[in-house]
Amino acid sequence: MKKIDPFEGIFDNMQNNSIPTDEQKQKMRAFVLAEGVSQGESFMQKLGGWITVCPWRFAFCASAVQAAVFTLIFGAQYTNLLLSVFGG
Amino acid sequence: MGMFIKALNRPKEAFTLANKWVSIVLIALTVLVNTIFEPLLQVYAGKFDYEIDGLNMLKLTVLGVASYLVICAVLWLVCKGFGSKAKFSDYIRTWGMTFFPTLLCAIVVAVTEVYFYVFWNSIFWGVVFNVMFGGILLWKTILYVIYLREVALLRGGKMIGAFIVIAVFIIALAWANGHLGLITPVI
Repeated sequence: MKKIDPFEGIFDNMQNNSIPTDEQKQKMRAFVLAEGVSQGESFMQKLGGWITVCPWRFAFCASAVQAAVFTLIFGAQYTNLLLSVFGG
Repeated sequence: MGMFIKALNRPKEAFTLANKWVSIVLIALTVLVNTIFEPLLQVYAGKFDYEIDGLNMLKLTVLGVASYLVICAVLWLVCKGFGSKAKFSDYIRTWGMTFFPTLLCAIVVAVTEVYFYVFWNSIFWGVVFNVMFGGILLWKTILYVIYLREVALLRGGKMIGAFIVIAVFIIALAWANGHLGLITPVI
């Protein structure tokens, strides 16, 4: 008589459940494609990549430069102008 | 939480994964800052004559959500016009992921409106405000470009065309939002 192992079914189920579904595979593929670092990128592509990852980093750096430059030139007037337009 | 960090730091991948909860939470927070945080800050700042108007809060909440749906419809229609195959539901699900700068903007605007006198004529606070505001605008613009490329899948001239046309609508919507009482436009 064949001995029935109760755990066999459980392990089979676990194995099946751990296989990604088609939808998950699609997502993984999209993720790998997005992550994939291509070789021999031009400077502009590298810059684009740097801006795309953590866009706030580039945004606040560039903004700090403009704020410093325009405040040095126009002083508090520049701030007051921005405040009157955006600050309510 | 991981999805939020991803939307913050790697928006390109976050758009591909399209987690609708990130969008929903960010939009809800932006609307709440507009409707609840700002009046509370007014009261906290000592304006006791400032009346909290529940009906107005409700009106602004509905307007905020409506504004989001309108901008999604504009994105969908214009991108469709430029040859994008993305569905309307894709826009609804993902545009909210660009709301990190919008949320930050809502907070900054509320603070500058209530503590206006601190910023006016002050070089130090002026520069802080400047950096914040310029950064927010640039950040949203970068996200907007990434969005057109990754969700609407537009490239080159089509992307630039859609960018300009939608930008006109964004300015019009921002004006309409401000006119209706949403200080930070929910777009």
